Amino acid sequence: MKPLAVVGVLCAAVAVAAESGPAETYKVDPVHSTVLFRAKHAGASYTWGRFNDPSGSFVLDPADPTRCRFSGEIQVANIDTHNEKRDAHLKSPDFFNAKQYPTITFKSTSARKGEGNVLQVTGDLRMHGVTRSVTVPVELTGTGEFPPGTKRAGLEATFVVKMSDFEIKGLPGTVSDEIKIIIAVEGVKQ
Amino acid sequence: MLNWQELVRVVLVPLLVSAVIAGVGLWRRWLWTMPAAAGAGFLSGYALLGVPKLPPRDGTDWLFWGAVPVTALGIAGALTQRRGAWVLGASAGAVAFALIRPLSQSGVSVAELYGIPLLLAGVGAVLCLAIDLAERRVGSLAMAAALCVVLGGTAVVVLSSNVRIVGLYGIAAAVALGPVAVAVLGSRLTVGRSVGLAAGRNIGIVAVPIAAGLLVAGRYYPDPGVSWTNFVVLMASPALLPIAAALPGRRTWARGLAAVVLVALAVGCVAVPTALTAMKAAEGYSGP
Repeated sequence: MKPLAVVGVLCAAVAVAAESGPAETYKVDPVHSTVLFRAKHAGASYTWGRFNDPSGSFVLDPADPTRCRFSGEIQVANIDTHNEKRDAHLKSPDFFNAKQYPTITFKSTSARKGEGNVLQVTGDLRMHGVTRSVTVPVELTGTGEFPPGTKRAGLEATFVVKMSDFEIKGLPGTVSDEIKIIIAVEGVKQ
Repeated sequence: MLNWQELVRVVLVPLLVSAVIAGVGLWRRWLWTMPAAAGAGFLSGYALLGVPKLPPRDGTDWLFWGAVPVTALGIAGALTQRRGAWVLGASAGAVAFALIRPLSQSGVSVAELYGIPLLLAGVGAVLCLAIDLAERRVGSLAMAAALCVVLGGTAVVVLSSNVRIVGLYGIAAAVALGPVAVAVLGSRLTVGRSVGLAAGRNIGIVAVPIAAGLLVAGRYYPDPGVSWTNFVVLMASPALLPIAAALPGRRTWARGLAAVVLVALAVGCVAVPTALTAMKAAEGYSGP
């Protein structure tokens, strides 16, 4: 590479670094991340389930929260409600139709500072082949190092979606349309 | 178990819709109302569970939009009364293709995507031919009753494969054939009495593609889905009708009874064990 080109690349790299500031990119650690959901059964009690092994990444920028970015993916096949029959049913076209729509994804489009450690994150949630814009309060639960030298950051978000908004048939009268979702994520700094 | 809302939607309403249309046909001697009753009864039950968009979100809902032209084909077969109308049974392949195609990006091989619909097109036409040939010897009533048994068994097997809503559609399809069978019984549409009016064949043009669609949906969408053994036995069971037709004797009703019993035995052989296994697996599970 010619010296002039090397200088050019270095200048560009410095410029990008200066622009991005202290932003840090984290990759979701599936071992320490959980996606929980609950639905009301028969109008009586809440039944809980989870999606195992979520994946994704996020960018945190304490200096400028509007530059924070979040994206994640869940395999519908990883649904786990501690009942095989129910898991198989939830994967069927009665609910998620996992064969046709195997993933649930979220990709943020904007973020703004909320109260305390909370960010109001707006993004596209795609489920059952339907994309809806949702705004989710994301709490930055903390940072730490484990093992030493490996920085980690935690997030938690709680929000409600309606199955009907995503054209999921469900079982009206048996399972509530509103589903509460709790996402607790730990990311490893890249 | 069906709840009372489902009972109304997939049993009572399809029964009423089919009965009204078949009743009018019985009164006016309109043969075309028989396939119309079978198709409209099924579609009414389906619609009450939710009319799917076009194109539908879930691939299984192509069954609804496939049943519309299939019903029209059954009516056309009755209106034209062409001997070659059994070819219209090949529409089972089109219904199957519409159902499998949405899964083309999800692990379904190209061979299955095109091979299964082609196979079902051939099977659908052959089954309608078998119904056509057997009808003169066993009567239209037995044809309608046998197809009702096939659709009922298919509904049970699909319900047992974790995709409840498609099983409910199957119940609506089976129930819709009940009034048709009664109307056939009470009319001169019975082939033995009025040669050339093949009610059973035209009902078959509607019922066989719907059965194929139910089985494809039950096979490909849930996990685990309908087994290949159950799929083949249920789909092929109407092929037993010509065996009953070949029985000697002068009594059409006896051959008709034998036809229904033969088909019921074949369907029962797969539907009953599958349902019992599913019930055992679901012990303690009362739905999501």
